[in-house]
Amino acid sequence: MNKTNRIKTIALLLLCLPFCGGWTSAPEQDNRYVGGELIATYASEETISYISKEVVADISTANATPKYSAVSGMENGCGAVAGAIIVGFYDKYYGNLIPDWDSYYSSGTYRIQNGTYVQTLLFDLYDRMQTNVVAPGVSQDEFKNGLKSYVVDHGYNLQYTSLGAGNSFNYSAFKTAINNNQPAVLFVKTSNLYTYQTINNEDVVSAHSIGGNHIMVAFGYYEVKYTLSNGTRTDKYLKVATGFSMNSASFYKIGSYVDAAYKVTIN
Amino acid sequence: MREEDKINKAIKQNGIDTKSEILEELKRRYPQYVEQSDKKHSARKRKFAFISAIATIVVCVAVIVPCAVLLPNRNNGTDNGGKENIRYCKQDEYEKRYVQYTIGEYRENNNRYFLYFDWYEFGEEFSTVCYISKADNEVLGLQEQAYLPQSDEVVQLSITKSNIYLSEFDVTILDCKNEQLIDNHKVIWSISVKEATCIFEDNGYRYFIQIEQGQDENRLFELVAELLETK
Repeated sequence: MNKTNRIKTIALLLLCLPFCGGWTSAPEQDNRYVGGELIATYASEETISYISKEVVADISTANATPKYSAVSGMENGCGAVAGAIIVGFYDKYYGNLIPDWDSYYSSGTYRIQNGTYVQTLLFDLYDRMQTNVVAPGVSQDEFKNGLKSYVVDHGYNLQYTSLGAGNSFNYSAFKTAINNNQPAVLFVKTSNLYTYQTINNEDVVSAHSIGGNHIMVAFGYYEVKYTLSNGTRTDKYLKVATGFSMNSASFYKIGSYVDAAYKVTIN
Repeated sequence: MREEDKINKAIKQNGIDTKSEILEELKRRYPQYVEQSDKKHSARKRKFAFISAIATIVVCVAVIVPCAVLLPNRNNGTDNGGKENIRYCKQDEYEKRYVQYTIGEYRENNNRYFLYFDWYEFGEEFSTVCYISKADNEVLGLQEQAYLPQSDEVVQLSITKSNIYLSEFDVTILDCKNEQLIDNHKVIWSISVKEATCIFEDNGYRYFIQIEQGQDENRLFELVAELLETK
């Protein structure tokens, strides 16, 4: 093979490569989010014995978020559930987002997941996000476009503002968003959620694994400072609406890897 | 630092449960290495076997004891609730369906004798979900939510037979680390980011009561007492 033919062959191979599924380092945008369930990890506990404890911050959006979870027929539907939580949250302020139904009681408490209206919302978003059409679950773009199309079709605008990605989550911007009563959507890989239990002046922190790439809604932050016998430590978490039925809210550790995070504004 | 050294260091730094987990992970990731390593170092193999045995015993005790505590009445059930084999169902083995009947109606129509909140007169917005086995259509559990306007709270009651474990309750059971005795029933409870939850068993059934944030454990105990009063 002469030099010209060799160059042509290499060029041809390079052109074909994207169509052969040969990329091993696909961008994060191409991740699929399928949900899964919260898996109890029986050995992942840490006990923090402290001299004193101070909750430095415990801030949430107003009344946190609605508690919605997937129902039968919504396989890999974590995108639709997270989208519905966002829509339900904002329905309190923009009443036509869920037509003919208010997502909250007069006290401000979010209403129970309704078998008619919320179920209709869930399946509408499930379809708009093209869940399981191209591959199981949804991509970031499918989620974002599906949710936006729903909001626009109901007469409102939606903006996504990036809060960082990877290990560069912008915690400061996130706190500002929460302080302004704006939730955020998180795209995460298989990772841990945390729960706290205080027993006899000790905090037991349990880590539970999310069974797959997942989409959650972050609605607050929690910072706690411990005075220990050998110094101090401060733990910082996001409060997240998980979309799971029994563990509808949990902590996500600041510093954990996120594929992407967006503040969601509807107006 | 070699992978082996990193793991050994991690083992030394952690407790027994974590140790066994790391060893399991090591076996999973590097089965060839572990086998070879064991063949080369018989002394290390004996030590490994000893540690594994201890870890296994500890893990077994850690699993069996909570199960024994959580199943105090499993042989005293009605509806054969406690006399059947333990059945563990993963999420993909059952589905959750909204149903038009209430838990109270289900109980009456199916001659079941579990406890339930008779809140239909003063509550609002009842939402009932049925957990149904995909394999045999058996009803594995029921869940009902109600809004109680007087206290502005959403209360959720979930019921399964004592011998049935649904995977979505695993974390809840694990997180309920506090204990309280109410009317001779051992109640385990927890307070999490947004919810307070408790679990107890009675006469072959397991009950999960969950209320929204803002309430404390005393409200949970009131609800347990209220439920037990309906016996």
